[in-house]
Amino acid sequence: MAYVALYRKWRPGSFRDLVGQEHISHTLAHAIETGHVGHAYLFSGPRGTGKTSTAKILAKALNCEQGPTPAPCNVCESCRRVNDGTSMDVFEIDAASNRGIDEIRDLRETVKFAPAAGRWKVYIIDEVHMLTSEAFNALLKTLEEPPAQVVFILATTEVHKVPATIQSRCQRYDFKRITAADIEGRLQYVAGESGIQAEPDALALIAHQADGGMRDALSILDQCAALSDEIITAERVRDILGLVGRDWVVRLLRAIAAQDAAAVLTTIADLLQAGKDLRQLLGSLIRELRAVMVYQAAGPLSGVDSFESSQEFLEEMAGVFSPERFLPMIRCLHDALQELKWTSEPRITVETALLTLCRPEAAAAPLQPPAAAAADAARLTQLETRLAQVAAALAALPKTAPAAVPVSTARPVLRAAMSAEKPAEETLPVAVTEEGKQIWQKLLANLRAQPDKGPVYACISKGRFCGMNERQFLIEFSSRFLKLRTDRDDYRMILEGELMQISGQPLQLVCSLAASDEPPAPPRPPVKKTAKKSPAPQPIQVDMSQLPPQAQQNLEKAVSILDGDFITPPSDS
Amino acid sequence: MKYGAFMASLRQNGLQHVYLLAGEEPYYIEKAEQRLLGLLFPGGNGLQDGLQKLSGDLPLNDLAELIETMPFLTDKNVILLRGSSLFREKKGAAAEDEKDKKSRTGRVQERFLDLLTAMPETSYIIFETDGKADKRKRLYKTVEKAGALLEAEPVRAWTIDEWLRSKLMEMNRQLDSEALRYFMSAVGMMQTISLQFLDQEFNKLAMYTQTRQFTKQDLLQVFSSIPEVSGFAMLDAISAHDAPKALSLLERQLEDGVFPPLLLAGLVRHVRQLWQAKTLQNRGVRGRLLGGPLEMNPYIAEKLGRAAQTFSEAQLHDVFLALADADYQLKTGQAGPEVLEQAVIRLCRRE
Amino acid sequence: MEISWESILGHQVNKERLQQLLVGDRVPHALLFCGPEGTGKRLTAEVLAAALLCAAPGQRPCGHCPSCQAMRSETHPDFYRIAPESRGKSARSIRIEQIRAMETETARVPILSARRVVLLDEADLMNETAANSLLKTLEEPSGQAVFILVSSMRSSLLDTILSRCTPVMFGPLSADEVAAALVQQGVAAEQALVLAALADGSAGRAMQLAGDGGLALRDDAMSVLQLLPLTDMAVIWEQGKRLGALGREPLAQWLRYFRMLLRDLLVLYSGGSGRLYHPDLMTGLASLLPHLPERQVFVAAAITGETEHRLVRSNVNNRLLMEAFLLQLRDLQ
Repeated sequence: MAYVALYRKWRPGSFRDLVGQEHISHTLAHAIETGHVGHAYLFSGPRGTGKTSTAKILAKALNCEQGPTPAPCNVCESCRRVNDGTSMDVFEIDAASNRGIDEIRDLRETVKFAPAAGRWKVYIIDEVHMLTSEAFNALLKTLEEPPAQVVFILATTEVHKVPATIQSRCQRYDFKRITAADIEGRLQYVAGESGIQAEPDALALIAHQADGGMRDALSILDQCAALSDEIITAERVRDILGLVGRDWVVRLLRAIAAQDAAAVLTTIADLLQAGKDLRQLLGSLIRELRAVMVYQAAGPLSGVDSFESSQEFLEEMAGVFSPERFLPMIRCLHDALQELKWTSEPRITVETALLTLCRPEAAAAPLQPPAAAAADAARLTQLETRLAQVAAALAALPKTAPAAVPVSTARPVLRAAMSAEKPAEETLPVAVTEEGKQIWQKLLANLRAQPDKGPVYACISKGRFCGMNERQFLIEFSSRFLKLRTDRDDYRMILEGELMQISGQPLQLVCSLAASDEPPAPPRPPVKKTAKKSPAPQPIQVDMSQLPPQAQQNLEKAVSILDGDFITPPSDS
Repeated sequence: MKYGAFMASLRQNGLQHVYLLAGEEPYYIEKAEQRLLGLLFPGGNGLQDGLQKLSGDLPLNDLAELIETMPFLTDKNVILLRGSSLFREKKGAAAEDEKDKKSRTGRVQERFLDLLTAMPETSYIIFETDGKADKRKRLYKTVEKAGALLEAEPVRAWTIDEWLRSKLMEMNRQLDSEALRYFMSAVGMMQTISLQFLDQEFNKLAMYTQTRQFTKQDLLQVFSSIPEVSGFAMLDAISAHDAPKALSLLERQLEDGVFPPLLLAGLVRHVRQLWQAKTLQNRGVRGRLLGGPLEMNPYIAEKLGRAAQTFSEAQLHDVFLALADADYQLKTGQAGPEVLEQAVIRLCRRE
Repeated sequence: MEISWESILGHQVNKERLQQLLVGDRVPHALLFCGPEGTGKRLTAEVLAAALLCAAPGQRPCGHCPSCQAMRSETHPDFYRIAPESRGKSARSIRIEQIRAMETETARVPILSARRVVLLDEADLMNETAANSLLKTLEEPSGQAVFILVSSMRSSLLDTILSRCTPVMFGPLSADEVAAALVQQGVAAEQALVLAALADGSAGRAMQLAGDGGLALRDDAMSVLQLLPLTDMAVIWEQGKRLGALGREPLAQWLRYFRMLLRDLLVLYSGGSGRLYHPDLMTGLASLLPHLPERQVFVAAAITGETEHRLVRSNVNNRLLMEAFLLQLRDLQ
């Protein structure tokens, strides 16, 4: 393949081409002009900021046939050899693959000899922080007494891993991250020269994504050019990089702010379906939360381009989260980010983390003794009540019903059932037992004792206990309104919760209207789907309509409580 | 002898046969060594054959033998011994020296000490050791008597002037007053001052600009890469409880790729100093007097003292503990820049 | 080795894109195929490799030229595959020696085809030195080589590796596609649908489920979950011993199921429209809710995660691990 990657093809050839590092190119150019070339340089800075390129330019500048000159010709034998890596006097050593003392000893052996063709021997040691400590010591000896006409250029992204003894022997140059604007300019130039068509938005996005590194920017441009049809669009860039667009992040944060777990789960599912990268999602969320935290404390910052959110959104979020929530939230996302490195179920990791953010009380509780959660007790009780009810409703399924919930077909049928008029309870044999009366009295007393349950008490105290069995608890009303009101989910939940507490078993509340006949059971939905299904050995697909009305009712309730959106059934194939 | 005195005595008294160059500032040791070798081998003549560089620990007998060797092809026999532990501090070293006198090793040492006091005319020995030398050792005392000692003490912010003056003279440059003030406060922010590093930075500066007088702008270009210095303005903003400014400066440093633990170290140091200043003030130490106990330039200490009064002890306490956690979390990859942001936010609050 | 585009399930867009690159002879020299496990990344990589090595003028891989035949029989001299190896007791990884051996090989002139193709399977298991030593090669390969890295854990790769590769994302397969794959393998249609739901878009996992009674393991996890709240130490000792003897892989899988079930409980708690992994177990799960307050589920999920981490990442004593796991679950009460 004759194709040469853009970042290789457009590697800067002279100090003038070096983008964003003017302070360095200026100083080095002058050093060459005045002949004050040091024996050892340490180039540090983030990846893709021009360290290796600068090292090569320096090597060419020193040995150029027209030189030494700050503007190497790039055409003479010497320059060309440096460019194709065949120079006898310029050595590029990748410390990541040659970390050991033996390699450095070999190097020390060759250092002694005079340059073969040029004026200077230049040793470029890339990723120098990867050397072992023995290798560093060996290198130090050489740096302490550098042979004449030898220049060492050490390059690293992690200067703090380079021993101080080495650092102090070198002239250190810190390469800055290149600003997005500078990168964009260079991208425009390269795209123009290479005949790549790209929307300005797309280039801006690439520049931002490159995070201060020119090499990354050119790589991305290359990748996008290869995978685009005619013109590179921003959409395409996002697509190729699997970028999680800001709208996703906004959507998720709003859901978290609203403690809307359901929306969070749906969003994650959508993201995964779109093939987005979860790590990036977490990274974006962290960045966004940091932006909100900082905004909340200080308002809009000037001259900072790490945060890209709109002020309106920041304002909105700053009003939702209290200051002390940010760190725990970010911490939780960080933990998830760590876990992504090894887990085989990234989805669960992310879901659990985001659910935790949605439920700060429940999720924070485990860190403290249970007593500390007392403040939250009311909410929890309410929740538990609700869940007890779900459980009860499900437990009430007739034993003959298959153990597995027929989710696949449940939904459409349920919908059909719901659209019909709400069927009344099928009344099983009931009895007004002594136990039942006690439960009724206790129920009234309990409600009266709770001021916040006043309205419920007011309603139900007008009713009359008229019997119970092992699953149901019947109350009769003379007022239609009171019956309907009590029958509504919010009151039901409270009542059934209380009943559960008092009786220790799940009881379903059945309200009836005194002196009125029960309407007949609803007609069966006309669906006869199961007919064509082969009798499956496993209880996988069951037609709802085959269930007794009571079971249908219970299931329907369970689903309505859970606001069910179960896995969408695969279309029949 | 301190560096200045050492160099002066070298000028006045000429060469001795025994030297010890010891101390925590390698820059001075290196300079002194260069000067000595320059005097011993003017123009580098004879350096190839006359100089023997050794490092590490050598049996004293072997060393003695080297000293007694007659020079070959040159007129001098110079031994440079680096990184030897001969002068290193050891518990009860002096007492041991006494006790050792009688033993075999003791006799060897006696002979060696005698040799140092009566060196052959053609032989010179230079000991170099990083870190402080143990003054109680007999070897040390002998060298002191028979030759000359350099104590290369680390430079402090308030003793930098001497170095700066000589460096500028050497380069034939000047600092304008604004640049000088900036340099002083920047150096005041550094946890340890490495002269080797400053030396390199000034060499770079000389390459960067050709004007005879350096301005603050020039210094900024070069010094901005020093994390402590770029953090300096941020700490100033924190002292002023200016959250927007402090956070902007923090974000900018992060964007520049400053290693977060370094930023954290700067914050920690600042909070510690604020707290220390507060404690001192409670004991009645005020104004420029804070400089002594805080080991700071009095002018900077006074400023710090004023800032300290605007922080409550509880606030400093909380942030300090939070920073300790943050240090661990940052270094174990459990947290990111948000812990720094949070610390800055909490410090900027007026409580 | 299957080497036709048709054998790849789903991923229509990716297939088209790659073929488009092939036609234009613009395949980047370093590609990263990433996405969940069992979605066809490796297969796609192999087909692409065959296509890159095939010299036929039209549709590539042609399937019958010497290069394609060599690929099919896995004897192609210019196709180099690197996969994690386990050495002694230590965990599987790709080591620097493997990378070096490959570099030596690929620097030579290709034998049968116009170039060489290197497939790095489970590239995330490269240790740091191996990954670092690969950087230079990825940046400037010395021979005519195309590198295809395959990974289901993109997050574990070094940034420097990521930035040097053109990413190709493989999203989860749709339930239909997974089910279709199962049916192709002879699984009954109904069961295929249930398994597809469980497999969360991974054909590989669905096959595994269908193959070796994966559901049994899941049901076992469910049965242990139903033992909560644990009070009887005898049960803990007994279950700990039993689970500890499952073997590393099945146990890891078991823990994953346990975690998925806890996640489903959280979904039920969230009261929202979450998709359940185990819709078939909903009744059972819902009946657990009264015994397991939400915060306990959160903690249990964290404990399970940590336990899995220890199991997968180190050489722990499985029985002890599981006993401690159950004890911690007991202590939740």
